[in-house]
Amino acid sequence: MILVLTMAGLAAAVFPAPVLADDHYDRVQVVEPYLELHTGPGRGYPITQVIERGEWVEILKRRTDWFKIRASDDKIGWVSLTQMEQTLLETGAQLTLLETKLEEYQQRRFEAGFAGGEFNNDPFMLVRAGYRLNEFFSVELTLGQTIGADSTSTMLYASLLSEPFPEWRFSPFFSLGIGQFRNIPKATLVGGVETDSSMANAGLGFNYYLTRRFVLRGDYIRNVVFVDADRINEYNALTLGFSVFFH
Amino acid sequence: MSRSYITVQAVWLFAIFLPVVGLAQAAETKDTNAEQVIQPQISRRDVRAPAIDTENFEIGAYIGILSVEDLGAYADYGIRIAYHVTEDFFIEGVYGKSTISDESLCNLGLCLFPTQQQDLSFYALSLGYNLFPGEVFTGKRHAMTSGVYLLAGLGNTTFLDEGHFTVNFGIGLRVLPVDWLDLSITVRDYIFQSDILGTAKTTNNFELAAAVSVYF
Repeated sequence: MILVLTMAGLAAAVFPAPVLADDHYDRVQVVEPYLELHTGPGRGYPITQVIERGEWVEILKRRTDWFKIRASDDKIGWVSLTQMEQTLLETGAQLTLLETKLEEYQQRRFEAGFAGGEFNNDPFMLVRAGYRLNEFFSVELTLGQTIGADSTSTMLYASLLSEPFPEWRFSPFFSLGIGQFRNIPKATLVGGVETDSSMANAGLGFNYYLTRRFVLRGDYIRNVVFVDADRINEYNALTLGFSVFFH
Repeated sequence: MSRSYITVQAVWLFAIFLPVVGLAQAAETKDTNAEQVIQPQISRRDVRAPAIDTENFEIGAYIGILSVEDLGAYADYGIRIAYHVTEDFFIEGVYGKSTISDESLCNLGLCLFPTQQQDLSFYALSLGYNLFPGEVFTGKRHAMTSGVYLLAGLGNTTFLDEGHFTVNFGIGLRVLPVDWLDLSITVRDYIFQSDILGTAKTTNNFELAAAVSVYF
């Protein structure tokens, strides 16, 4: 029973009912001479209909910077953010849709991204997700993998990041992390032993806000892997990647 | 490397972080007592941003055919997650699996695998670019939005317990029968170094995949 309910809940979450009650949607009034309705969420999709000044439209959903709207005569189409911002809410206030800009980036809460680069001269890839505690500090979880000629290493570490100049578009940061490092030698390597060790790292990097939700990020990380009581390996990692952010 | 060296490094790092902590505290205790000289006579306007349902994520599954260089073509399947950042760009992650075999080589007297069937798995993180937005027409009365997109990314391909750093390039066509449903076909080349036949060489491994994804 619980399973069925969970499944139903999941299904409802994944496949939302396409049409909800009308009063669910926000209504706005067209004040520009007209709104252009595209067939899809992008400037490349053709404009097939227009909605004239004074008409009311319902906002059904948003995808990137495009809004799916329904007019009173059931015309449906996609309108650009620039045009939507020219409409008025029922209260008479201008619709504030928050185009993703630098200010939004500076107030970001969650961040996720991936990067590629090198780890001890071997190819390296990682995914990361972060949460910003306040203007200056964030915590982050990174899962990385490096594929060498003789072995594959996977690492998972948690980091604390400190960004001294969060208001800059190009903003440097420091990071400190601890985690786990697993090295699996290739099957063909004679005498190779799988190792599972603790690791710590310190890094220096930068965030560069590109546009919309895109951030370019570079990291230099010095990793220390505690193989056993008297063996410590050190590796340098250099990565470049993209992040996107949310609130 | 000795323990004392690590201690020195740790101290050095604290030295980096200390001024930052100071800076953060200084910023938080900024003077907030400035008196407001002019009292505005304007009534507060409703600046509530409407709660609009955003659908920028996609999750889905796919089945396909993966051609592994020197070994043959095999059925594969996987999952995909995408995030649409702008109308032009999206980020996509895929994880796929297949079972490969050395049967064709074995028939030539060159058995390479410890057992004939071997698991292959791969993941790829890619950046996508929506190249040609458009529409496809089905019959006289219906049109569906569509798009041709390009993909490029990095990942890993694992088989025989060995990882291979993999670069991928692809092109695909997506069709949306309804706004939240994405049906796509992607052709992708997974390129990695393989020494399966003795000497290391760059291999091109093409995949043709059909995916069903939903926006949420």
